[in-house]
Amino acid sequence: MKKYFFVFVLIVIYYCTFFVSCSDYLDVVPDNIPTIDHAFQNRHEAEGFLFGIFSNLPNSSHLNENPGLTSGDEGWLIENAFAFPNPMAWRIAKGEQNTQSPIANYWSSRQSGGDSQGAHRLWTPIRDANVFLDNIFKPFDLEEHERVQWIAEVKFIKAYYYFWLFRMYGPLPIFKENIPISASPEEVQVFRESVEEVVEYIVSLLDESIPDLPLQIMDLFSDLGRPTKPMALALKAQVLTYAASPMYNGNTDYANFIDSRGIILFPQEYKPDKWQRAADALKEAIDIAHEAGHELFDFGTTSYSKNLSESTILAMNVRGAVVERWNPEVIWGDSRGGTIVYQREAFFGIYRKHGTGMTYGPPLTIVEQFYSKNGVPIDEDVDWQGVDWYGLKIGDNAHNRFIREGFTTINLHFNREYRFYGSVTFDGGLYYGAGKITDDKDLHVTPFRANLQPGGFYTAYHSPTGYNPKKVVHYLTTQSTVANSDATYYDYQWPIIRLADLYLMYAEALNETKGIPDADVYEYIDKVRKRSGLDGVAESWQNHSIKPDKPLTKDGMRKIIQRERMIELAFEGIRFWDLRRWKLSEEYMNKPIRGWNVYETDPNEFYKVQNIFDLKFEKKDYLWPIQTSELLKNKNLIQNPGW
Amino acid sequence: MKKKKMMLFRRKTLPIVSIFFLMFLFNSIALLALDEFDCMNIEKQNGLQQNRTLRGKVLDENGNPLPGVTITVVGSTRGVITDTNGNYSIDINSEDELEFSFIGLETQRIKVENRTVLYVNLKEKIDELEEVTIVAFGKQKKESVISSIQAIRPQELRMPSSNLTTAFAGRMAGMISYQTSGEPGQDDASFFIRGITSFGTGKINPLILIDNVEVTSNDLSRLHPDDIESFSILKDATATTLYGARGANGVILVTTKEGKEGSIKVSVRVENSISSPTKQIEMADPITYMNMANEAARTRNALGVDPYTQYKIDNTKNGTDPYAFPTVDWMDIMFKDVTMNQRANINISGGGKIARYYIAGSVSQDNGILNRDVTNLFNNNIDLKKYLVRSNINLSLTKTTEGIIRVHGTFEDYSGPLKSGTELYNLALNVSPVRFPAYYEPDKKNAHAKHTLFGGYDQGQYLNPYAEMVRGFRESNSSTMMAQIELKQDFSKWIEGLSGRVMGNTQRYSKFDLTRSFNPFYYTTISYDRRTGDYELSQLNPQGGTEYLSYNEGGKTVSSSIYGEASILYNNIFSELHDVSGMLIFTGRQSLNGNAGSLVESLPSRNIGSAGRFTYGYDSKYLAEFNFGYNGSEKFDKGHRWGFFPSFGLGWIVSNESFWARGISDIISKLKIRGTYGLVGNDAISDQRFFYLSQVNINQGGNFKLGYNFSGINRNGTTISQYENPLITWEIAYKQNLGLEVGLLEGKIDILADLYKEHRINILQTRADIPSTMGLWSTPQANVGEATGLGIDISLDYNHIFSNGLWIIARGNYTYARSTYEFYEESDYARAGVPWRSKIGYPIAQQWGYIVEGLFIDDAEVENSPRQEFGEFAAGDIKYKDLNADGVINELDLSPIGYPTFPEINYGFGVSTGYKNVDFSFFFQGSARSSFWINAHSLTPFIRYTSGGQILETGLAKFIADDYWSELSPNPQAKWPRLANYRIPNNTQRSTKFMRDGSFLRLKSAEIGYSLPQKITNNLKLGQVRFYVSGTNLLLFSKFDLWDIEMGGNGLGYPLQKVVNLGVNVSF
Repeated sequence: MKKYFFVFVLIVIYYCTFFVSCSDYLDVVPDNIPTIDHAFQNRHEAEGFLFGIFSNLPNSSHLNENPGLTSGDEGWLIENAFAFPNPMAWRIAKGEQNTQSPIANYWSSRQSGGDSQGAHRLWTPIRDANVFLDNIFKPFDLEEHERVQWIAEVKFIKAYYYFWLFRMYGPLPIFKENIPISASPEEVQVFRESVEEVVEYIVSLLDESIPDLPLQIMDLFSDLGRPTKPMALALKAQVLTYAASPMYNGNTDYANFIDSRGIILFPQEYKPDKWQRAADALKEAIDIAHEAGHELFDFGTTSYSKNLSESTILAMNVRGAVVERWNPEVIWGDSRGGTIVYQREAFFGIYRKHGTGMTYGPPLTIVEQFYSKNGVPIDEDVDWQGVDWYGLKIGDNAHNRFIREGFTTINLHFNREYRFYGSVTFDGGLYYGAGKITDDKDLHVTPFRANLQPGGFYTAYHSPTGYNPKKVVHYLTTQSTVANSDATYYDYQWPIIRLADLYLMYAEALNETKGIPDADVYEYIDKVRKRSGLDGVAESWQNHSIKPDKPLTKDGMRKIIQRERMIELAFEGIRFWDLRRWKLSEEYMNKPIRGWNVYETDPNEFYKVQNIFDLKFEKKDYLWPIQTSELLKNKNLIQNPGW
Repeated sequence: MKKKKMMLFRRKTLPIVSIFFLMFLFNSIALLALDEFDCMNIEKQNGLQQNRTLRGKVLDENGNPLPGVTITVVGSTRGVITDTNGNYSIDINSEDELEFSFIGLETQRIKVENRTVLYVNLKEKIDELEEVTIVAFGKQKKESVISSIQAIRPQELRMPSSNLTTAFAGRMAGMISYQTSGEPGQDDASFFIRGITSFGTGKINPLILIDNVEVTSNDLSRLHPDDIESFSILKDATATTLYGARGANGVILVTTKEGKEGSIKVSVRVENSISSPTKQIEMADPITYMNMANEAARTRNALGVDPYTQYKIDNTKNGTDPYAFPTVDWMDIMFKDVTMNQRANINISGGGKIARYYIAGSVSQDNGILNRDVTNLFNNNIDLKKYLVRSNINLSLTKTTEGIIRVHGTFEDYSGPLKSGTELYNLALNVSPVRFPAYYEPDKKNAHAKHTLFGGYDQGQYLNPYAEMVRGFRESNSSTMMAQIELKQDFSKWIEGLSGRVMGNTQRYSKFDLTRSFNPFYYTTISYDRRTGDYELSQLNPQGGTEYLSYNEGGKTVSSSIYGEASILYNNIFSELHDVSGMLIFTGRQSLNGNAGSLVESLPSRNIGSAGRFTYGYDSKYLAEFNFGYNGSEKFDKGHRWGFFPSFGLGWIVSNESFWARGISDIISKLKIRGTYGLVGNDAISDQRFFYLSQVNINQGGNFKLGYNFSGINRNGTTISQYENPLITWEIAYKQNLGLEVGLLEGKIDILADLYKEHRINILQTRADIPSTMGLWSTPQANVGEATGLGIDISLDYNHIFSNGLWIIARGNYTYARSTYEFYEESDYARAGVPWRSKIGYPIAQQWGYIVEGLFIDDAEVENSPRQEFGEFAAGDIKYKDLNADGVINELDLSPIGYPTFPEINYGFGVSTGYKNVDFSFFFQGSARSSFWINAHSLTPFIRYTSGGQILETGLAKFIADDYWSELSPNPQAKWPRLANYRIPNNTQRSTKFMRDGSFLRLKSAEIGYSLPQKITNNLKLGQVRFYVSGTNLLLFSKFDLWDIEMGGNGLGYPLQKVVNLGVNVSF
C-alpha cells in the first residue's frame, strides 16, 4: 500500500503546485491600462474629455450635417457631383426620409461608420457631459476657477445638444443624471418629456452656466470659440423664441400626440406670455452682447475697403458678417472652421475643374425673395409693376458695379438690394473676391450659361439652377489658374449665432407681444436693414410699396419680419428651421424647385424656367422620424406623428 | 493596485516553468528508483549457476528459419543470436525464462523448465490500432469506448488536392462541411462538428489537435494524408470534456505516423492533376449588353441618354473593326480552361529496438487558372508551392522509458497576382465588354513600345481587369515550425498498470509578403481605316504609366505558441473482471502574436487546465466512465476564471452477455448501447479580450479646437470601445448523447448511430434592449444567449472479401444537425405586433428577409401599394409583402425565409472494390436543407462606380439578359427587376426573390487503380507499385445551374475545381 500512498502524495503535490501557481499565471493584464478614471486624473486629460464633448458639435456649415442647408428649399444640388456627391441630408428634400434608416439621424445613428451619414447620435455627448460633471472634481491639478468655468461650458454645450435634438424631434427624454450601465431593461426604457419640460430643462442648464461664463474671451489666439455669457444668453433667447413660436405654442396639430402615461407632449394652449419671456431674454442677450463688444459688422472697417466703392461695401456688409473671421457680429462662431465643403460647392468656379464644385444652387424662389433696391418685395415695389422679371436685359453703365456691361442677362438681376448682390452669384454678375479684391471695375464676371463658362461646362461641376450663394464664400478664397489643382479656401468660423439673428428675433418677439407694431418693433429690424443700405421698414413701404400699410399691422409686420429674416440670414441654414418654427413649411415647401436651363448657352434658351423638382412637405415632416429599431428597444418611446 | 505593475510579465512565466521542472524531477526520481529494482533482481539471479545447454531453432509463421533473432535470459545480461539457419544454443538452468525477439515480430517469453530442445515460432506484430480508439489524451480499447467518437481511415481523406480539408465533406458522420472557393491557398473548406450551436462572434470551429497540440484549421489543411496515423472526431461531452473550456465545438484529433520496428520501408507517391472550373457564370453577348444598357439608361429617365449609339451597335454586330468596335470576353481573356498541378511525397520508416523513425517529405505545386501576359518576364498566375517535412523519432531510452521527438515544418511559397483570384473574377464581371479591348497590337507609331498597350478609356481611369491582373505580382512566404518532445515512462514494475508522460511543444509561424508592379499605359483608338485596317492609337495616361517595376513591402506576421502537458495513467484488470483505469493530466498553453496592434492584444493568451478520466468496466459488459476538465483562461475576471466541466457515461455491451451467444450472435455479432451526459465549455467567445476591463481610448476621440486662426488649444476627446463587465465568462454546453453500435454478419456490417442533444448557455450577445438614448459609446455584451442543438449521426460500413479474392468496402454516412435559438435577447417583437421578427425557435443560420409578391406591374400598383422604405421604386421593381399591414415596408416586415445558410444535412456514400490487381472506388457527397442568396447587389448590371480611383462598370450576366422586366414585356414574375443604370436599393434587399435551395449531390471522387503483379515487383525489388487515375467534383446534381452551387452566394468568386489526376505509388 505504501506505493499507492506515494502516488497519492504525488498527485496532491501536483495539484498544489497547479493551483498555487496558476491563478497568477493567468493574470496577464498589467494594472494601468486606461480606464475612465484616467481621463480625469489630471487637468490635461480632463481637458481632452471636455473637448471630446465639444467635438460632437454638428458643423452647421456642412451640407451633410446641417439639414438646414440641403433638406429644405434654399439650395439645390446636382446628382453625382464630383467633389461632394449626393449629400445624405439632401435626400430628405427629395422625399426619401424614412423610419427604417432615418436620414440625418442625430438620435440613433452610430458614432461612426456606415450609417452615420453625416449625423451622429447626440445622446453620447449628452451622456459624456454627465460623466464629466460627475468626475470633474478628480483632477488634482485643476484650479477651482477653471473647474467652475468648465462645468459651465459643459452645461452650455449640453443645452445646445438638447436644443438641436429638440428642434428635430420635439419632445425628448431628459437625462439630468446618467442611467448606470448595469440598469435593468425597464430602467433604460425612458419616456419622452413634453415640449415645455424640455424647454425648461434647457433653460435651466443655461441659467446654471451663465454666471460662470466669461463676458468675452481675452486670449483670442488660443481660446476663441469657448462659451461666453453672450453665447449662453443668445442660446437661451433662441430656445425661448422657439418655445413661443406657433410650432410649439398651442399647436393643435399634435392634440393627439399623447404618450402611454397620458401626457400631452405638445402644449395645446397658446400662451402669449411665452413671447414676452422670449422678448425679455432677447433683450438681455442683446444688451450683454453689446456690453461684450458685439455689433453689426461694417465691411468699411476692413483694410480691403479702402479702394472700394460705397455700393460694393454695402453689398459686402452682409457677406462679411458671415465670412469675416471673428467679426464683431459673431456671437458664437465655430472655432473648428470647417466651411470648406460648403465654400467649394457654393463657389462660382472661375475656372472649371480647378478644385471647385459649384453644385449648390439657390432656386429661383430664393433669388426672387430678395428685395428691390427700395427695400420692398419686388412684386410689391411700385417701380417693378409691369416689369417682366425674366425679360432679357443687357448690362449697362448704370449698373456696372454689379453686372458686367454688355452682358445679356435678365431684369430680375437689375435694381435689387445690396444684400442680393452680396449674397447671390448670378449669370453676368460681377464677383468680388477670387483674387480680385481691390479694383471693383475689373472684377470677375460670372456667366452661368453653359459654354460661356471659362474652362467649359462639366456635368459634374455646375449649378443646378444657374445661381450660387456668393455670401458663404470668403472673398479671399481663390482658385488656381492651373488645371486640376485645388482652390485655396480661406476658412472662417461659421457663425452659429450672429447679432442680426438676435435683432430680428427680438423684433419678431416684440411684434407678437404688442397689439400693433410700434417704434420698438421697427428699431431692431431697421438696424439690420440700414446696415445693408436700406431705409426703415415704415419708410420703405410708405414710399415704394403698393401695400404701404403693411408694416402698420401685426400680421403685415410679422410677414415683413419673417421675410427680413429669410433675406438677411439666407444660405446660413436658418430658413429651414424658421419655417418649421413658424409652421410655414407646408406653405413654402410644396412648391417646385425652379431654375434656369443650365445646359444652354443662348440666353433665350437659358432663361426658360425649369421645374427641377417637385418638393413635397407633409405634416409629418415637421418632426424627424425616430428609427424603428429604437421603438422596438424602448416600449415607452413614442414615434412622432405620421411616421 | 497601482504601484506594482511592471513586475507582472516576469513573474507570470515562472509557474509553468516550475511545473515542468517538477515533472522532470519526478520522472528522474522514478527512473532512478526503477533502475534500482532492476539491479536488485539481477544480483539475486547472478547467484545461480548455469548447469546445462538448450538447443533449438526459431522459425517464422510460415516455418522459414529466422536468422539473427536475439535470445536473452530474462533478468540477466546473457544472450545469443540465431545463426543463418535459425539455430541457437544457450547455457541455462531450469528456472530461467528466455525472451525471443526480432525486429518487426512479436517478442515471446518461454520458461525453460525441463526442456533441452526448444523450437519457437515468432508471429508478426499486429497493428494495435485495429483494437484501440484514439481518445482525448490517450487511447482506449475500442470495445470499452462509450463516448461518441468517429474515426476515419486516413486513406479515405486522400484526394487529388493539396488541401486536406477539401476531403472532409460527407466523409464523417457528425461533420458538416462545404467548400466555397477553388483558389489555391484560399480553398479551405469550412467544417463544423455537429453543426454550429453558438451564435456569438467567437469560435464556432472545432478544437483541432495534431499529436495533442492545438493547431489552426489552416495547419490541418496542410497536413498530408499519407502522414496521418489516425483521424477522429470527438463529438459528445464524455469525449471532449477533458478539453474543458475549449471543447464545446467538438474536437478533431489527429495523430501522425510513428516508425515501427522493422526493416526500412519507403513509399513514394507522385501525382499530376488537371484542374478546371466546375462551372462558371455565363455573361451576355456584347450586342445584348449594349441594347440593354441603353434600355437601362432610358427606362427610368425619359431624358436619359443612350450610352451606346445605334452606329456603334451596328458596327459591333458586323464586326467592322476589333479595335474601334471592340468586343471582349473578359473571362476568356483572363482565365484559362485548365491548369496542371503536381504533388509528390515520400515517407521512410523503420527502426529497431532502440530507435524508430518516420520521416516524410512532400512537395506540391498548385497553379491558378489565370493567363499571363506574353510580354511580361514574370508570372502573374497563382503558383503555390508547399513543402512539408516531418520527422517522428521514437527512442527507447530504457526498457520502460520511451522518448519521442517530433519535428514538423510547413513552408509555403506563393506567387500570384496583386489581387486575389477571387477579386480578379469579380473585376472580370465589373467591366464593359465593349468599351475597350484588353490590349492593342502596336500600331505604327507605337511599334517600338516596350510595354503592352492596354485598352483604356477617357483619361485611363477606367479599370482594365486584364491590365490589373498582369501588371504585377505578389509573393508571400510563410513557414510553420513545430518541435515536440514527449517522454513516456512505464511504472508497471513498480505498480502494475501505472505510467506517466510529459510532453512539451512549441510552434512558430512567420509570414511576409511583397508586391512588384508597374503602372499600365492605356491606349485608345483615335482613328481607323475601314479598308486597310490601319489604326492609330493615342496614349491616355502618359504621366501615369511606368515602364519599370516598383516594389511594395507587405505585412509581416509572426506568432508563437508553447504548450506543455504532463499526465499519469493507471490501467489494470483485477480478477479478470474489473477493468479499472484512471488518468490525470495537466496542460498549459501560451500563445503570442507579434503583430498585436494594441497593448491589450499583445498580452499573452493563456489557458491552463487539469483533466481526468476514470473508467470502470465489468467483465467487458458494463462500462462506466467519469471525465472532467478543470480550466482557467486569462480572458475572464478572477471570479469567473476557472470552470469545472464534468461528464459521465454508461455503456452496456449486450452482445457480450451470456444469453446473447445462442444463435443471435451469428446475425448480430455486436450490440453496444451507450449514453453520456456532461458539460463542455468554449472560452473563445469573441475576438475581444478581457471583457472584465473597460477599454477607454484617451486622446483618440473627436477633435475640437479653439482660437482665432483655428490653431489655439486643440485636443482630442475620449472614446470608450468597451465597458467593463466582470461577469462575462465562457459558453457552457450541456451535451447528451445516446449511441448504438451494431455489428452484423460476423462484423461485415458495422453500424454506428448517435442521437444527440445539446443545450448551450452563456452565449455572448450584444445587448439588444439598450436604446440609443443611453448614449453609450459601445453596446455592452453579456452571456445571455442560449441555443439548442439536436441531431443524428449514422455511419454504416460494409467489408467483405469473397473467396475468389474480390473485395468490397462500402461506406455511407449521414449527419443531421439542427441548432436553434433557445434564447436570444431581442426587442419585444410580440408587443410590437411583429412576432415573425423573433429569432427564438429558429435555426441559428436562419436568414430574415422580405417576402416578395412579384414585380410591380405598373405605376398605378406602385401608388396603391404600401410605401417601401428603401429609396426609389417604380413599376418593374420588387414588391414586398406588408406582413404587419401598417402600410409601410420596413424592417418590421422581415420574416424568416428559407433554410439556414449552412446545410443541416450532409451525407456521403461510396464503394471501393478490387479484384486481383485492379481496384475501383467512387464516392458521392451531398448536402441538403440550406439556402443561399444570389448576390443581387454585385450582379446588378450597368452600374458605374469608382473604386480605388478607378471606374468600374458592372457586367451583364446571361441569366439576367434572358429574363428581366422591361416596359415591353412587363412580366411580374421575371427573374430580374426593371433595369437601371444606378443602384436601386429596393431591389437588392434580402428577399425570397434571390433565395435558392442549396441542396446538391455530387460525385465527389472516383478512382481506378492498377497494381503491378507481385512477380514483376519482386523482379524490380519493389514492394508495391500502383498506378491510378482519380478525379474530384466530376458530376453535380442540383436545381441551380448558374454556377457551382456549393459556392453558394459567392458565385462570382474563383470557381471550384474539377480535377482529373494521374498518380503512381511505389513502396519498397
